[in-house]
Amino acid sequence: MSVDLSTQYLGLKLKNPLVVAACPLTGNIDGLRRVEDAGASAAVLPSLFEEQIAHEEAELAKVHEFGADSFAEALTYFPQPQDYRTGPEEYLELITEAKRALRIPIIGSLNGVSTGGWTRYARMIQDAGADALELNIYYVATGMDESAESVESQYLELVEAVKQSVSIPLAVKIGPYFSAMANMAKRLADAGADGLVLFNRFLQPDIDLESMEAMPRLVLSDPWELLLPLRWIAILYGRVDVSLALTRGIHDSQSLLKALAVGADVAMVASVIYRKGFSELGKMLSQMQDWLAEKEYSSVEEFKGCMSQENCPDPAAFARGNYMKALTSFTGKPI
Amino acid sequence: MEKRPFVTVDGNEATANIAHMVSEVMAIYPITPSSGLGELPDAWAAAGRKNIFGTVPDVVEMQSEAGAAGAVHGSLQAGALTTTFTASQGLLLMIPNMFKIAGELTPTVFHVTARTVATHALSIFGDHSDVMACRTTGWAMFCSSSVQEAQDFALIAHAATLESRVPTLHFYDGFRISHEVNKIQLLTEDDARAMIDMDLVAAFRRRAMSPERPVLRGTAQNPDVFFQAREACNPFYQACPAIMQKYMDKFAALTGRQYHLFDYFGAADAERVIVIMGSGAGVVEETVDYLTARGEKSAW
Amino acid sequence: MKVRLYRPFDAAAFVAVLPKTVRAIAVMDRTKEPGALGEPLFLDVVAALAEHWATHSGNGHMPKVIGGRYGLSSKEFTPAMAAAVFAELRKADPKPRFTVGIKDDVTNLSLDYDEDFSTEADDVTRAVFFGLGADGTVSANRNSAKIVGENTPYYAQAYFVYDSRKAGSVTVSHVRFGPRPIKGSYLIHKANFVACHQFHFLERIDVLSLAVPGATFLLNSPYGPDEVWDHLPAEVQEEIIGKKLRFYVVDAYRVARDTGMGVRINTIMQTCFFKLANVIPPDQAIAEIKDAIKQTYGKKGGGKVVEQNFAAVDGALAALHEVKVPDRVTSKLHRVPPVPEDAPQFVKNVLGMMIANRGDELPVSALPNDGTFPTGTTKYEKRSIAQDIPIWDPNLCIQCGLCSLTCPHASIRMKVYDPGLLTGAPEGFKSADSKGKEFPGWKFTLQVFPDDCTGCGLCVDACPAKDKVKPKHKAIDMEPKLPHLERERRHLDFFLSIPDVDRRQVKHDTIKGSQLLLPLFEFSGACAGCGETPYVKLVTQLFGDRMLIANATGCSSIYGGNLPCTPYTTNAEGRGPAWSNSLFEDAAEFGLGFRLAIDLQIQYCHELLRRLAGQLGDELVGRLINNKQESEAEIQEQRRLVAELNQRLATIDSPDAKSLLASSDYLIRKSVWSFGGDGWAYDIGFGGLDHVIALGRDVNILVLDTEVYSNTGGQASKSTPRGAVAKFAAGGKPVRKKDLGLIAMSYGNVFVGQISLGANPVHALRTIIAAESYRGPSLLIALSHCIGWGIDMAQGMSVQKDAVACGYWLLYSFDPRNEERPLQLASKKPTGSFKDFALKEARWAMLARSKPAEAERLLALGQRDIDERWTLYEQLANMTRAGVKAAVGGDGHGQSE
Repeated sequence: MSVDLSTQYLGLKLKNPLVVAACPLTGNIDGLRRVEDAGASAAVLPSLFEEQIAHEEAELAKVHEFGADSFAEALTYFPQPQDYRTGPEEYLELITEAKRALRIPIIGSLNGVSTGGWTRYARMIQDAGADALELNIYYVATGMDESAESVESQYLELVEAVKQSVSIPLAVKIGPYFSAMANMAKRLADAGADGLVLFNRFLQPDIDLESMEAMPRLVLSDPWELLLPLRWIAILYGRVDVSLALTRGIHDSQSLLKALAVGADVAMVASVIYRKGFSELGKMLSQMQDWLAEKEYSSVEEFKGCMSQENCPDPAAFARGNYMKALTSFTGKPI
Repeated sequence: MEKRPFVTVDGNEATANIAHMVSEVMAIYPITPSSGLGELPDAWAAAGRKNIFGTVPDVVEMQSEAGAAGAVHGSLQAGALTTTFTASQGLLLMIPNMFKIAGELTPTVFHVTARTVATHALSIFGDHSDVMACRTTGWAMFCSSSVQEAQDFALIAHAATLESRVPTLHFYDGFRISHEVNKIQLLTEDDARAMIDMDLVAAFRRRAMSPERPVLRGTAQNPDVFFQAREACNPFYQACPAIMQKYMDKFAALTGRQYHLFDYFGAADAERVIVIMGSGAGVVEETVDYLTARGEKSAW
Repeated sequence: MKVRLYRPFDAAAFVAVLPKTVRAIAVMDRTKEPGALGEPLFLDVVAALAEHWATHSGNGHMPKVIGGRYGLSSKEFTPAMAAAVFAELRKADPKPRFTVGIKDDVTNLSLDYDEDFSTEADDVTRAVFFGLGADGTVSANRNSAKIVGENTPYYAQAYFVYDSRKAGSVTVSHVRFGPRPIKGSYLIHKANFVACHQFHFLERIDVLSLAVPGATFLLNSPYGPDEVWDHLPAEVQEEIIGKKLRFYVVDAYRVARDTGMGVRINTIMQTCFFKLANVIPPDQAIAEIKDAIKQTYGKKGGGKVVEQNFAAVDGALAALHEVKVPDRVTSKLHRVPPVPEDAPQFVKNVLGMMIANRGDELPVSALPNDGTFPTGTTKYEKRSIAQDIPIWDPNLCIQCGLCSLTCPHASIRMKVYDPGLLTGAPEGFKSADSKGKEFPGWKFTLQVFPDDCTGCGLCVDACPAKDKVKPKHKAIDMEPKLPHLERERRHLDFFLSIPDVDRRQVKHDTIKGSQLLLPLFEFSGACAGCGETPYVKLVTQLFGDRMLIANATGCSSIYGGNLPCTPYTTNAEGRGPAWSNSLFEDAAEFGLGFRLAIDLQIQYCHELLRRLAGQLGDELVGRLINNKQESEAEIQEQRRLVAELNQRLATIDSPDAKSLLASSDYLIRKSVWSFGGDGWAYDIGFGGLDHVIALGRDVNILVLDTEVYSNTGGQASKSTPRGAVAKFAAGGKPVRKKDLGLIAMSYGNVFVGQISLGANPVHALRTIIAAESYRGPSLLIALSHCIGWGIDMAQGMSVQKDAVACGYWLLYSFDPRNEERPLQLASKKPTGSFKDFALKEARWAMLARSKPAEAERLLALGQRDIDERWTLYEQLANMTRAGVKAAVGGDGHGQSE
């Protein structure tokens, strides 16, 4: 029995629920081709990083200005500035090229720091031909006087502003660190998000004990990381009117199935490709198909959300559940 | 005093002989018609012939005249009596260093076999186009016009520059003098010793660069002081002609051959005069002799 | 009369335009031909006139012609000077040859001129701006001239005067705006607008001397309109009151900080200028300034840098305030003299005048006539340009010496000394027990020179000693200077009074030992964080008291010998490097010349010693001739012997004794060096360098390899690496860097060392010592980071480390004395990719940004270059002479030289 693997994400019809997340693999046309060939149904490009653009602009300006106009023999130290592509040109070209070369939908991704940057670059990504846009918001609120409320409203203002400047579907990728995640999800949806991507993983500083220095470090995800987004998708499914994408810890067909079971429209992968190669995607898809067929599901849509909080036999499990259960089973064990 | 023999040599050998006696370092690069000027001292040095100071001059062949001039400049700055020999475009390659050598009031003599600077065509033969290209360098320019004078002026130049501190370009016509064989009275090492003032040599050495009493030369100067500093050398140029004459007079006392800054030959009441320097002067002299003998009032 | 076609000189045309009424002519030449009857134009004019009058005798007397020199080396030529020439021509007996623009009190050729004579029109805005190179003043003024020139009917002129130092360089901009074309090309002497972009200039430079009465004075001041007055030196107050200046302040640094502009205050000051000068309506000016900002930074619309600049412009006017000028001088502060009172006469009277921007007033007699200057003068010029200086924590310090080794300006130094010397130390003077076995019981002090430090931060980057509890605290930290300044000055005075350790007691080949040796190169005008000067300084520490330096023109000759003050200096006995610069192209030959002269003089001395042996005694003569002078002790012994010799010579009355006395210095072993950059060694001077090393004489050549023409602003040389962007290689250098060391090694008898102080200081130090000890030619190629790389200069040494780690820069030495294995690699097998290293530097990153595909290609080739070179060198290093003999059979042809 054949199973219909297609799914709807951000209003896009995807041939299956396996999407490659924003990562360096999707940052060039060769990588994107392999993503498509491996069977993924869509690709999210790496984030266009406004801070990086601004930083490079400033650095290049500094390079040209450092030591300049100080000494009669050396008024400058570099050739006249050319058209340096510190800006988004390269990124936009990649979108255009990918659209030409690939059949699967291409989702642009944007990480901004200023309202101006968010909206300007969002429009550029749309104009370059992206099928959808993923806003990647990650803000470390280090200010002692910065309240959760003010941080949240910044998020919402941003989403509103971007939504107003583009017409393509808009997904918002956020971290799990909200006191009231459900409420935040609802407000993001109200602000105009067409989808939520749970959850982003950013680099965290690590410590080098030899040099006694802090250094940024990005590690691949581990399977256990699945549990956090799994819970929140389960909770949100059916309660907010947005597409849901689960990213983090999808490493095999089992986790893929779990993501769909709690209600994700798509599951996004990256680390697994780094760990096991592109071929793993095909394996995950066929194993998923076999499992669904064996359990006599006719389509992903049918399966989707069956284990969400709404539909699962024990809804309380997602609210507090696992801890209590673990404790019970532990104490219940004979010593 | 040694006796001064008469020998029949070419202008280069006559000059090289003097240069060998009174120099310690020669950094050279071969170029026609000056090549022989360096080759002879090199051979003499190889045979252990010493200069009047008791050392064997060091003759070093460089990679170009530009390099030779650089080595000469360095050797002079470090306190060795130094010379070189060149011509034509080779001389032109030395011009950058010649400005500096003069600007630093460094006594030295370059012996130049004046040769055509290649233009529409190369020519290895003689004219003054190379020497005249050096007019702006601040060098004294001292022209000998016969094989005898080439020898005599070489010594006068070496002696005078030590006092005037104006470097001196001693030149004579390429081939016509450099390669002309003529009978001359040879100067001796005693003549050289008599002409070279060792107190001036000591003064030259004391100005040399040494970490024992370091100084800084070759500074970069700005508009605020460069012009003033450039004018500071004027007194040396004002004094230079008299010093040259002084050593010509000294030479005359020694050898009996009297030279002047300008030598006039011919009728005292001449109405027509030719002014000339170089080997052509002998031609005019011969002509004047001929014509005055026939009543013409000409001179040079 | 203006000469347009100089040659061929058309005498008839010349005479034809000369009015019949002319009675006297001055011909002005902007050149000097010492020894000539006159300068070239003068001689041509005289010849033209003489010929004309000879054939047209009916024209009456030929005009009197005099010849003058003016404007040499951009010396000012002003209307006042032109008027003086006319005045001279009016005289019955004018000077036949003259100079104008200077005071010649030696040959009295100069014309006097009236400094107050001015032809400036009232409706011309004449503005002078004093700024720093780093604050962007020049670019803003260049820009202002364009704005006015291209957007209004007004005419504009801008001219800039630069500093001779690169670190903390002062710029003066002279800008004129007027309704008519501006003809006069000369500096502004009567300014109706003066701007001082740096508050601290006021205590050193008389910025208001150029202001006319009633002029506007704009000052960038950290103090507001109500408090600034009391912070001005009395001299400044006096000029403001006396000239009735309109006085404005703006805290441009605060505006810049608030808008993220850092130290770039240029657009802020520019905005204020347009507001006050009223050349064009301020609103229009602001619009134009913003437009210019967009053109400069915002190629593709928007951008953060543009936004920041806009914000700075908008913030400027709000921060601009007029100061109500009190009617009397109240300040207790005074402008500081350019050099201290106790400086030598020449420094005070001559160099001090240049430092105070008054060099133009120096007469001819003040200046050396042959270009010879005293060394060791930078120590008198306390420029105090650092914002932050390193502060030492004696408890944390491991006394490794890396900070001192790294410092480009010799402004952090160390001494070890007997604890008894601490008596009388000022309060708080820091010291620690000397670590290590060499100086048991002694004290150790690391001292910063607070007024000489440029604040580059290289020392802190190099410091390996971190605090355990608070690792951001190192044994030296950069801290704001002002709170430490007075105390550190007191400590420095005391530190300087502590004697240097005896050179014989120190291990020269350890970092710490080398840093206990007195640097004889200090406080140069090199860029803050310069990568070249640490090598130069180190070499002077090792050999400075017996070295001669032939310096190629370039950065090293400019920071080495640009007036007013120069960094090569002497030790307590008055010994130090004797330094000279010949040309750009001939430093190797120039240095060779030193060696030739020295060797010849040694021969001469030996000849004279032998002649005088009877009077001097065979023993002294023998010891003088036979001392090998290989160790510090032997060299010091030779100095003692020469002193003894000189004493005996003074009592002998003979020409030979006199001659030997004049030459006996040569008996002390000399270390001959040629210094230069890669432009010299790889390009213009390569032929000479190649020849000199081939000659086999004992010269040492130090190539300060910045891989680009640094002094002239970053043009490509053959040392520029593949893919790097430089001027004349704007598309990335297509070919690989020339391997100068490999070429030199091919002779077999040349010592070759490739070194990096940042990557392996011990190897660098020992290779330098080995090179110098080799009695043949030595070539040292020293990796020197530079502005032209586009890096954070504070981390230059770390960048060098990365360069070596990835194999980009190989460390090795080739010592011909090593019979078995002359080539020794000090680099480890490369780790990491060239691309990762390269893209951290703007020279490569720029190409990646402008031509990504080409960058990709060139970086891949760059990696191949590295791999191939490593393979080659590994093979060469493994090639032993024994192996060669075995390969060719028996002892074959391979005789050692």
